[in-house]
Amino acid sequence: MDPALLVALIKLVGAVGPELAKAIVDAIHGNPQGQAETDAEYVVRMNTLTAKLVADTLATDAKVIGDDSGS
Amino acid sequence: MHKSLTIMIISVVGVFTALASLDGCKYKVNTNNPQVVYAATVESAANLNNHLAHVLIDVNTFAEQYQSADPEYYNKLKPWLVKVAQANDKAALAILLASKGDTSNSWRGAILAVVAQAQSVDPTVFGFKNPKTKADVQIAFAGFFATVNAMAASFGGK
Repeated sequence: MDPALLVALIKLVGAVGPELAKAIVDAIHGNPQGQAETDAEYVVRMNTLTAKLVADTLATDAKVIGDDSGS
Repeated sequence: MHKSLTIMIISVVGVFTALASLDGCKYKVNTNNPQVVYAATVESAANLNNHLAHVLIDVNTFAEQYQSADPEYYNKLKPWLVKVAQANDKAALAILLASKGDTSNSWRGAILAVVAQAQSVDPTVFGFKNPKTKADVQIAFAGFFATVNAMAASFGGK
């Protein structure tokens, strides 16, 4: 094989490698949108979800407590 | 043939080199990280806490039908359901504090209080005027007690 062609191929692999690698990692870790999430970001997302759930819980419980006529 | 094989090997090595150059665990959650485990645990508690609130709405609606049909039974259920909802509120606020950095673990105690309050009354024990009512009550409260038992099993014991 022409050494120049070999060098060109190596350069091509180097160029597309990171994108291909990211796609593989995303596929392995169930991140089909390709959205990166660090541990810290995950913690923030969980805490945000918790806050939303708590707000809904308080609003929902209020419907039971608020129309109380038996206590 | 040898040259083709060499190119294939170089290509594979190139991809793995690129993989290794990525930023560590950036694309996954590290489940060994205590902060991640804690946030996930607290969110899970908030989920069950929220589920109980919605189940409470269902059993409260069920109880309302007895307000005129069997007021004595309604008067047994209603104050109890209100107390469960109030305990659930306290647990919700404790869970929120836990998610904001409170490490006292008081949310677990608050969940235990919900469980205790929920288990303080057996809605099937009553002198029902209509014998069929007991079966209806068992069905109506099945989801309620399943949720309470899940709260106890998941978060009440530690």
